[in-house]
Parts: sequence; C-alpha cells; structure tokens
Amino acid sequence: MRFEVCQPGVVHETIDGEVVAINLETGAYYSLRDSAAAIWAGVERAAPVDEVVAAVEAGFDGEGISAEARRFLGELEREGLIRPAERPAERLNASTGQSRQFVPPVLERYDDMEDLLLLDPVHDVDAQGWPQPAPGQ
Amino acid sequence: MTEAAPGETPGAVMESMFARLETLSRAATGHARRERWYGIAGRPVRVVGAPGPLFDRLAPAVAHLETRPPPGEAELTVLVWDLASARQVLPASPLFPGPGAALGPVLTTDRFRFTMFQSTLSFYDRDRRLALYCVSDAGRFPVYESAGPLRFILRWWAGDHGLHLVHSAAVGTAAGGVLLTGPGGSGKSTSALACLADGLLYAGDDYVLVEPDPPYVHGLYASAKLDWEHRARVPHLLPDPVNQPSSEEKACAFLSDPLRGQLSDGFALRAVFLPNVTDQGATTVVPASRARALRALAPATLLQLPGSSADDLTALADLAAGLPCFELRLGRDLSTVAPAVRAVLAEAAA
Repeated sequence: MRFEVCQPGVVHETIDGEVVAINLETGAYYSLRDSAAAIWAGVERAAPVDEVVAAVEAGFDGEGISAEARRFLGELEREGLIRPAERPAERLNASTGQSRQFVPPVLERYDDMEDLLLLDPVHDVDAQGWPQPAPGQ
Repeated sequence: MTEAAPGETPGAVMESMFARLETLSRAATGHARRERWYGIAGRPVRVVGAPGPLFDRLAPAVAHLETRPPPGEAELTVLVWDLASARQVLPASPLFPGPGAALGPVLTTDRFRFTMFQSTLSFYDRDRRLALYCVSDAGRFPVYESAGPLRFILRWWAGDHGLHLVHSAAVGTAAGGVLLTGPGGSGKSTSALACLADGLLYAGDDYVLVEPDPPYVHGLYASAKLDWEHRARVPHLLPDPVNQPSSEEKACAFLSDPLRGQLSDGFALRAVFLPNVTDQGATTVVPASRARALRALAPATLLQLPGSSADDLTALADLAAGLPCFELRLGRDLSTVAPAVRAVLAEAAA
C-alpha cells in the first residue's frame, strides 16, 4: 500500500521541519511537526507504507510507532489530504542524526479561512450569464 | 464550465471568446475612450475605458501610481467596461461557470487566464499583454472591488514578471519595511494604519506585490479597510470612509492628502510581522518561527485568490525563509505600534 498527496488540490511546503499544507478546495490548512512531518515526508515520495513506518522508527525512539503511523495515515486520508498512490514511489532518504523521543503524530487543523470559500458558491446563472451567489450569501 | 463544441481545444475556446469580448469592449468604449497610465512595480500599465462610473471607481485606489504617458509601449493594457452602461449582454460561452459550480475557478491555458468572480470578469492574454475587465453594472460595483481593482489581472501579469500578489499590509521607511500578514481580525490593517498615523510609509493594507529575491514590496492600492465595529473604537485611524456602515462590507477609505506623501511605491523588505491582538498595554515584538509566518502568509493569499498553485506556496515559503519573522503583540495603546516596528527596522539596518 502506498499513499500520495492529493495534488493539485492540496499544496504543501516544509519549512524548518514543519509541514504547512493547504487544501485549496476546502479552505482548511494544516501544520504537521515531528513524527507527523516524518510520515508526510514518506507520503510526499509515495513510498510504501512499510517503508514510511520504518523511516519513522529509524528516526524516533519509542513504543507503538507502527500503529500510530498507520492510524495517522488513515486520518490524513479521511481528511482528504492523501489518497492511494498512482504515481511511482521515490526513494526515501535514510534518517540522519540522533533519534528523537517519539510522540504520536498530530494533525493540527485550522479552519478560520474556510468561510472565504463558502462565501462564493454559485447558486445559479442569470439570464446574462453572470454567476449568482447562493441565497443568503 | 459547460461543454465546448466537439473538436474545440480549450485554447481555441479561450481565443475565440477573448476576441468576442474585446470587440464588445471596443464597441462599449467607442470614440469617447479615455486612458490612464500607471507605474505598477515600475512598469507602465495603461487602463482604457469609456468615461463613466466604472472608469472613475477604478481610479482612487491606484491614483497615487498614476503617471504621464511614457514614451514607450505599455507593458500591460487593460480594457474596462460595464455591460449595463453599454447595453450589452455577455455572449454565451462554455467558459462561464454553470449552476452549482464553484465560483471563481481560474481557467488557464499557456496563453490565457480567465475568471469570473462575483460581479467581475477578468481575462488576460499573455502574448498580447492585453487584458479585459468587465463588470455587469458599474452602478452596483462593490466598494471592496474599488479598494483592490483589477487584482486578478495584475496578479497574472505580475506573475509573468516574477512578482507575487500577496495578501498583506506593508509599512516602512525608504530604507526598508515590513510585511504585516495574517488572517482577518489579526490586526493587520490596524497595525498598518497605526504606523501610517505615526509617519511611516504605507504600501497597502490588503494586497501588495512582492519581489522575492532580494525581498522587495511594491505598493499597489491606496485603500484601507477596517471592520465597522473596530473602526468605531479607533475612528482616527480611518476618518473618512467612502461607504456607509453595513454588515456586507468593511469600512473603506482611500488615502489622500495629507497622507499622500506617505504612500509608497515600494521598499526593501526587512522582516515579516504577524500581528496578534492582545490585552497588554504596549505593543511588543517577539521572534516567530518561519513556519508560523508561512501559515499566516499562505492561506490568506492562496485561498482568497482562486487559481493558486503549489508554485505560489513555494514562492511564499521562500519569502518567509529569507526574512526574520516576528509576532507583533498589539497593545491597547496603538501609538506603541510604530515604535516597535521602527525598532526592528533599526536593528535590521545596524
């Protein structure tokens, strides 16, 4: 099993080890750090889940890493950020440096921008072709 | 988008529609055409239209950038008109969003960019550096469009020159300034207006054009907006709104004399500030992570501008990575905002 990022609807960048991902279709955006960012790095390369898990286990010390990583992949998929991969896998870089204490991955979700998109659904098109917002917008 | 005729490529559909709309625009403008020239990011831009309410409503936000016609060609020409004044209707087109579609998708080919967003239609031909801007009825032209006119077209055109339209305010001095960025309600406009009141240069409170390397901000709109409720608490920051209180729109003003001299056409960027309203008395500044700066910069920019892509996010990440980032903890005493900004600028210059 492999996953990939739902591009082009989801865009993402990693800066100082933190992943910032934005779902351009829903308006939600996300922050992923530490083990969550490590899992995302594997998904970004469409690596097999077993390899993603192995990479996290190599970079972190702790118990239950495999189960937590698989749970987190399910959460990312339910959130519409990732999907089963069709693109080829890229090689995952081996972990370098010291292992860190494992903390279960967290998906920090921000929805304060969703209203921007909800403001603009087309309800109908008028006789002249202009899109009209839904009633009450 | 409805179906194109069989065999028509998206490029052919766009080219055909652009030609039809260009014909409509020239018919609407007729012999009474007027033109204004602007220096936008240092480049000559010409806006052409018929005398009338639309032409006038596009002008105040960019009046400070108006120039005399230059000896050379325009790098961008925008034809503007409104269908109601011209007694025209839009021709049917597969480009228009159908019922139930999301509003505001940007249709793109190598040559063209097209979007219909609320009451405006924006269409850009990259090859001819020519754009069409059409509204259904200038009499119902919303104030927020007057405050940031032509922004889709300017975004596309600026992108061709390596510039990025960013949802931020920008204030500073001739030697350098800062971006103030964050979602609505974060204090971005309040901070910018407090700095303006204290004598700092002002490059905008909503959208600015950013050149990434080296970081430089180009001023774009001489408008300012505040929530009506907030404006009631700080009326001195926005003394003369052009609109009436309403739940639909923020209070909006166009900056003119005696503040005109503080409207800047640009300065080097020294830092990114993330305003945050607090209960403390005086404004303070603390370092912020670059990832947090990206979380403030990117969603507001990308989600308010349909057609955004991964490349746009990368550009903003590069910007955040290349500048020191700070949280601007806004105090109740707004006279302390500008000194806090000046202190960071002084340190950056040292």
